[in-house]
Amino acid sequence: MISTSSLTKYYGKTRGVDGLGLKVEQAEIFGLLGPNGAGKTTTIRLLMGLIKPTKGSAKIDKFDCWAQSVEVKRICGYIPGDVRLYQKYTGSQLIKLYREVRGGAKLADELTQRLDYDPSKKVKSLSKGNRQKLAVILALMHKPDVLILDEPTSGLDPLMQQEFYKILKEFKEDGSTVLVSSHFLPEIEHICDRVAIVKEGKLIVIEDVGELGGKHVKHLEVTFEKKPNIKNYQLPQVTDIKELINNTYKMKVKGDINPVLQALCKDKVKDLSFEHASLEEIFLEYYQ
Amino acid sequence: MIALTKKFFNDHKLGIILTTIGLVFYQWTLVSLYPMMQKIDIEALLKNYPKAFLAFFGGTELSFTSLEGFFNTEYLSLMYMIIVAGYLITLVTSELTKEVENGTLESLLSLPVSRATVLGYKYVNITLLTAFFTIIGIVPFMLMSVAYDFSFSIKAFLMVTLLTFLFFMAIAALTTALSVFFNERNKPTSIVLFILGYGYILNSLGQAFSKVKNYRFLGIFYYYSTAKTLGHKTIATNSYVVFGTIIIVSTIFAFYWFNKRDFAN
Ligand SMILES: Nc1ncnc2c1ncn2[C@@H]1O[C@H](COP(=O)(O)OP(=O)(O)OP(=O)(O)O)[C@@H](O)[C@H]1O
Ligand SMILES: [Mg+2]
Repeated sequence: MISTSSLTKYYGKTRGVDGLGLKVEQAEIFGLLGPNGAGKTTTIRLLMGLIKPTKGSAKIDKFDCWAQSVEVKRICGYIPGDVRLYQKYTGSQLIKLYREVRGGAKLADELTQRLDYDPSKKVKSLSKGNRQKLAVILALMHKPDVLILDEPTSGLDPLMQQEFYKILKEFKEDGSTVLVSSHFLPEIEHICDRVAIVKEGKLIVIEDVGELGGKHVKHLEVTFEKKPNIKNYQLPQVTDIKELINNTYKMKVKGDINPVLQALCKDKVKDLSFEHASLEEIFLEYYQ
Repeated sequence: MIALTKKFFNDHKLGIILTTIGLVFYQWTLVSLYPMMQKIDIEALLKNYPKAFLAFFGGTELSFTSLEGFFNTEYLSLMYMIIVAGYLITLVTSELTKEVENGTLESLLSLPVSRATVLGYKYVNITLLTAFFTIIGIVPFMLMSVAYDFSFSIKAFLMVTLLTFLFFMAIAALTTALSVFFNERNKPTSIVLFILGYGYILNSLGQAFSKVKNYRFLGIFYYYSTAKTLGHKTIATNSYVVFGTIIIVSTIFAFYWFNKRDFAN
């Protein structure tokens, strides 16, 4: 549904993306994961025909994203990374304007309700999260076949994020294709089928999210009632273990966590916390 | 797509209304002053001033006591020009650069409209507004003059209306092209103001001093000679050529550039 080949964009001499090749299937939720400045927004703007590729090309459905951007935009819904809307307009006025220009807004009321958004307020008086909700409504209300979302949950509170993920899953079930960028791994793991990891404008790897989860490291911090038998934790999955303070240990777990959990059951645990690997660690993983 | 036109006029409602009221009121004042001016022997009064001085302020093409001459000196050649040109420059730059600066154009362009359509709508609206300000700035004076039974040539006024439209359109088109190119307000504004200011001074000096006379054609006001048009009831060919060229070249450039440039703010 979405494909790019050697997609390259230089802003003058600054690298935006360099030789990106992606293929996103229909009814797939595809993540674009990378640190700041990786080129996620650049890729998305290329897809939306807002900037012209220096080299290579991008296609959505059968349309070229630059030369046939009107056709592309007809089947897409887009949430920009930095949402900026007409300040003097209220939500309902904008919904009306977009409906008149684009045609179709059958989901507007439903989305407004589900996201608990008040459309009577002017954009300039909205909080960041509420502005984001409006952007979500504007991008999704005509039920597009393709969703291009640049960090769509930024500013949304956890409850709204969950609702938004639910909406995305429903879109997917109805056959829509979603491309979503993020620099937050758990989010990608939570909603995506596949993910492309980009860094410094280059594609590092495309992975099924299921496999990604098995591969990357998690940090486990556990406090025991009394000194445990450390030998029990010398498992292949535990790559590093050290005692922080009395009876509190930090372990690095890679891959399947179940053997570790089984080992933990044999000791009395007072406190336990998991922390996902940072993006940096994931990248290191793929560089090794 | 009517929505975009509605939005344009809605966004600029207040400015349009205020400028219209201002222009109509100004013309009404002029019409009520004219009978009084006729009574004063201005020509005699003016004889005491050096010719160069008079030429600098409005030229010697027309008799000041004629309705055309009075309208030209008191309104058309300066006040009206400043008000409308100023308003147009502000409006065009804001319409074309503010959306880029504020990032709202990115949202607009994510809708299934082509860049040419987005600019086309803005351009048509700007043209409509320019025509409106030309008409509202001259026709009420004409109509009131008819009502007061002043003697004047309707053709002269119609020709000057057309000339004024071409002049303002040239300014609007040039400002459009510069705004699309620079994406910010200050540069297009100062360039256009410079062209107008320098053109005005050059033309005025040219009327007063024979040394400069031959260089008047380098300034835009040489082609916006309201006095000549009112006096001769025709528009000089070179005015058509110059304004026409500015309009066409600026418009083509604006669309060309708008179509190929990046929107990544
Ligand atoms: N309009 C622009 N002009 C010049 N350089 C730009 C522009 N936009 C992006 N860049 C550069 O391109 C590179 C990629 O930026 P991009 O915005 O695509 O990153 P990103 O992955 O979206 O980052 P973030 O997570 O911070 O949003 C950066 O080095 C950035 O400085
Ligand atoms: Mg970004």
